[in-house]
Amino acid sequence: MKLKNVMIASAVVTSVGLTGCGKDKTITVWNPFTGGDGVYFQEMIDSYNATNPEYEVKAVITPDMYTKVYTVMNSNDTKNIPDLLVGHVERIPLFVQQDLINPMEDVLSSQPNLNGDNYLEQAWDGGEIDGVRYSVPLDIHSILLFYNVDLVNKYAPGALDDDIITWDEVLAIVPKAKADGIVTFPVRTSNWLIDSMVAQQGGSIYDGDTPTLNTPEALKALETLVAIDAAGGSEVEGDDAVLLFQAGESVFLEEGIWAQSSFTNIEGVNWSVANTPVFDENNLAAWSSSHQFMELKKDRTPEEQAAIGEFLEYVRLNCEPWAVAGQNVASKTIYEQPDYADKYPQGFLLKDTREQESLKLFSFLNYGLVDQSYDTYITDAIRGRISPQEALENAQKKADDLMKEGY
Amino acid sequence: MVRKGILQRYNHLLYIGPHLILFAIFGVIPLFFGAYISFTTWDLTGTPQWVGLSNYKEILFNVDSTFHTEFFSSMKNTFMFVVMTVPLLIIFPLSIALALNTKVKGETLFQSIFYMPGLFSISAVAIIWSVVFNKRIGLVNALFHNDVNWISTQPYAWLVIIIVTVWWTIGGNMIIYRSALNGIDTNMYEAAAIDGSNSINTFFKITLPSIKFQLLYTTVMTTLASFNVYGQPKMLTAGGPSGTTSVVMMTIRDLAFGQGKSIAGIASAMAMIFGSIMVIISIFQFILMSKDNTK
Repeated sequence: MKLKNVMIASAVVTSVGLTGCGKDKTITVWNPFTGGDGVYFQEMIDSYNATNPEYEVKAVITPDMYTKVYTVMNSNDTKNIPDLLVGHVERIPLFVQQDLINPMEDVLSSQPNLNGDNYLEQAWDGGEIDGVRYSVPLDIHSILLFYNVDLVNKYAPGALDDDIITWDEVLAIVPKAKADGIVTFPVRTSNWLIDSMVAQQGGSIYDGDTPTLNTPEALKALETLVAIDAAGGSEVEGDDAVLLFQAGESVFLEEGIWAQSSFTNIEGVNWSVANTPVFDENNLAAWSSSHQFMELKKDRTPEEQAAIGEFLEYVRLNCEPWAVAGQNVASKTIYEQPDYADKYPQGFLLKDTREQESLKLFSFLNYGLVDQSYDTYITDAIRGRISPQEALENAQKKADDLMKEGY
Repeated sequence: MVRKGILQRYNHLLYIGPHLILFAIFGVIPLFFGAYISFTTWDLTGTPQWVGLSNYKEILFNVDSTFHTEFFSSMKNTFMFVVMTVPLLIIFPLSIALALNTKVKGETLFQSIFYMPGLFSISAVAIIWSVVFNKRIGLVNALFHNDVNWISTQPYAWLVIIIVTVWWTIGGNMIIYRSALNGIDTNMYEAAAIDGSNSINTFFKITLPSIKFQLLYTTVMTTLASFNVYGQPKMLTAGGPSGTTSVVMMTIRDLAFGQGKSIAGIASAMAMIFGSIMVIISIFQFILMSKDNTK
């Protein structure tokens, strides 16, 4: 019964909280940036509005945004449907299938520079389904390896000289660090790690629209994480891995690039970043996603479409605050600046094609199922409560059952 | 005259009207809508597809289905939580109310202290307590010189959830009991004392029967609230270890508003089954406790 209350309540909250959306000469942009990145997004919006455009842009930070998307689309109240939405690339195939978003050809037609030549390839490609353009990318955000330089020099000198470390090298650190009471590699971002590690072996977590979770590649990935935990190399459950790293009690921290703003001011910890650990140094892969501007279905006037295009073109040329926030921007104009990689710790991920190609997007229709299915079982396997094989079988079973229900 | 008569006849609507409208919008309409959705498959977009009883069959009888196993295991966990916490949430607040009613020094201060945790959000409460029970830096392990990982080993995970729940929710019932105890006629206690009744006898023969309706109300409401538990296991243990603290509300929410497409049909069917069980239990409690034993 609670469920229905939640549904109706969110409908009301949306309509009450967002009154004023869709007013004349305003472009509303729903976005999920509830954290520190919201400030930088607002900074971009403010600087755009300072150019006195005909249509002002209004950013609406929307917690639990995807739930509200369904609520507002069901309300048939076009006034409350935002003009633009910043969503994740993995949602696009689903939104297209559910008929929730419009193609953006009308927007692009007035802005010749909003094209694939000006954006990072995979970020741009993620917005195209069956030859139709549905979104324009803002960024590509990945997980990456934060490391404590002093601790790496102590336990594995030279291991990161080539800017990449293997899982075997990580495992070799564990006994030495453990002897000092130091955590080697917190395993908390395990779902993303497994997605990355499967890709590193040339495997895939999906086949067409179907999640393939129980594969030899996934097993090897999971067993590697289990080995780290079993050897005493991971944080204990309940530990805050970020705090451990900040306190200098953890050699590594695999985290999203967007989280780095909380590290930049730590005293006494000499840290740096590298790509996600690999099985072999020729095959890099790091889980990534991309924020994309898209249009939920509703009628927009040609003037509004042109105004949206104008705004997106402005963002393409002026999205540097987004790199300051810790994200990697998708616009070549910004990331191809010669000093981009030097200015921003995460910038090295875009410095050459080897790094760029390591950023894997997992954009397929049922990506949401992967996390939902892994979540239930992966932690139990890593902590040794069930076998890795059992965890993957259960996860696949759950994904299959979810697929049966209307997927 | 006629006008006045009509006004008089219908003025009760003026009083219950606003509540009735809100109750209909937030209670009755969603309830019927949820019941309808439970007979469909629906991903929150387009028109729900009618599937009759198939969601219910899947949850209740298809033993191979993940939905069946998850529902029954989270149901078992939820019942466990209810059985463990409800008695504590009656006994502790009642004991505190009785203690405070002895007119101890600083009773309002203590009352405020006990009531205060309930004013905090569960997120804040969970963060504080997860630090207290943290294996490495936690106060509890430091005090008792042990090495338990409270949130990832049973029965400790349950213990943490129960301790936090009792600490967090003790105030509400305590206030009700305090006011109920204050309402008991002191003459009865004087009469009992003259008749030579000891304090235990007085408690069971006078105090408890006098606050019977408050006890009934708090038991039913606490039971219902406990069935709806979500925040404590979600924030403290995330349903672990091995799903042993995963409760029904978590299962329902994950299905309806998970990371992928919504499985609103199955989620609604679970909510309907779960809701019906809660109603039946409440009716049973009500009948059992409102039996008049004094006749």
